[in-house]
Amino acid sequence: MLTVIKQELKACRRRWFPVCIALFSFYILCILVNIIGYNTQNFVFKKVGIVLYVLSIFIGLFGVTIFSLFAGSGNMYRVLMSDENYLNLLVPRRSYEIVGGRMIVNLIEVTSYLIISCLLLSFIGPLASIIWKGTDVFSSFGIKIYDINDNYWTCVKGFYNAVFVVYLDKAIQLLVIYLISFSCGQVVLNFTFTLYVVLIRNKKKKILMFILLVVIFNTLSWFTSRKTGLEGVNTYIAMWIPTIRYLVCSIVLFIVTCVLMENKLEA
Amino acid sequence: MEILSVKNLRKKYGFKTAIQDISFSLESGKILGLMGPNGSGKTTFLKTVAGLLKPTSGEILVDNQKIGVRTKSIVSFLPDRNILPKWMNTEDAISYYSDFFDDFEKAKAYDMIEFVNLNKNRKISEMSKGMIEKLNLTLAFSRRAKLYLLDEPLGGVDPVARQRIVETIVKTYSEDSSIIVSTHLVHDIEHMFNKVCFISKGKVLLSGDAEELREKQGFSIDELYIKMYQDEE
Repeated sequence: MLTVIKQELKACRRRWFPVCIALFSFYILCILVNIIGYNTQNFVFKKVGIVLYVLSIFIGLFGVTIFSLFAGSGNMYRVLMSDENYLNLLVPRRSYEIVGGRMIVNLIEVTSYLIISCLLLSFIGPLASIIWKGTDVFSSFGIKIYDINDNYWTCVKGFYNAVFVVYLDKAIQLLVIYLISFSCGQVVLNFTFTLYVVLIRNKKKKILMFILLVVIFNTLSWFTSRKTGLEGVNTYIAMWIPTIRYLVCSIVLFIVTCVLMENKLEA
Repeated sequence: MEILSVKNLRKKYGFKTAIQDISFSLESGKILGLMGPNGSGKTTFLKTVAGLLKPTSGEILVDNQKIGVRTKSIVSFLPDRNILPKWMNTEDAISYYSDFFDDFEKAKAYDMIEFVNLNKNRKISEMSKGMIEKLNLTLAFSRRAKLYLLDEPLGGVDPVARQRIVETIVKTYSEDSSIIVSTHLVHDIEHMFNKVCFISKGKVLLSGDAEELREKQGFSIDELYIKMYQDEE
């Protein structure tokens, strides 16, 4: 598996740098536009700044996840549907090494994007105190991060204090839940692609694959969202129950995917 | 020593039969020419031996082992298309093969890269079809494999590149390994073959020692090919 990881890290390099540069450029633009808008009180800059601010949060938290899920090394679409499958199926490695190695690299990739996003968001987040002066956005979620009357750098410090001191246990739990959910999503996607290639494979592939994906996701969601009675204890327990169920289902689907790839997949 | 043994091999794609009841064996140190027109089952056969396709029935043994992860480490397959990702350059491709195949010889690969005049830093996406063919051939032959499977190695390349490819195959030939070359460009390559196998519609029409067939039939392999398949074209 180490060989797969080494080669996939090499392949991921060519994607990693441009994505990081794009993320960095976008966040710098967001900060600059908001600071200019605040200082000049220019209507256009202020409005564009707000749009960029909202977009930066969406991209930082969801955009990189969706990108990594579909374009990352762990996505087996290209391996299964293009001539690259020859290369992967010709190497003397078991399917679990190939899929598992790729998924580990994808997890490293998404974590690195997430670290960069969070780092940049920690400088963008406090802009809320500039943009929406007089409104404590975070307290509406029940989180006390900074005082709305603090200056920018005090707000930045407040962010780091909140993540690494006050809410550290919750931040770690959220990170672990995020990484598990990401891997589960990747397993479900790969299972769908493999099932499609092994059982169906025809010209209407995108429609059929989408239907298959919806059916599998809905089935899993139905199973994982069933009530246990423990959900009311606290928010974090309520989040862990479906996560653990997803994890168990994903392990089963991962095994089935590997078995199908090794015994039924044809290039 | 027998390197490949095929018994009653059948391969179906849905209702379509691609290979029907092929049986033969190949010993070490032989170069087998697998010949037939397009759609005769050559690629299907090679892909099945390489482990890319699963046989519908029958048995294939490579070095007395069933097709699987272990046989992939002793079989070197050159497909009829590029299999390397386009972002790779020659160095990346060599590093990839070197990491995955224990029998890969880097020094040999660099020698062959020189021999076939390839630029080490050029990306696959910037290479011509002939260059890609030569790179894939270099990678396939830089392994010390027991069985080499070459699927149309001369298809789509110019005569100069073709000559280099044939020279590379001859240069790599050793008594410890066997080579199966599928082709319909018989003229350029027939002098290399020790054994030949003519297939059509998934069945073996004629097979045997190349020299014996030439003497017995009174034709060159190229002429024999034309004679056998002229009615099919």
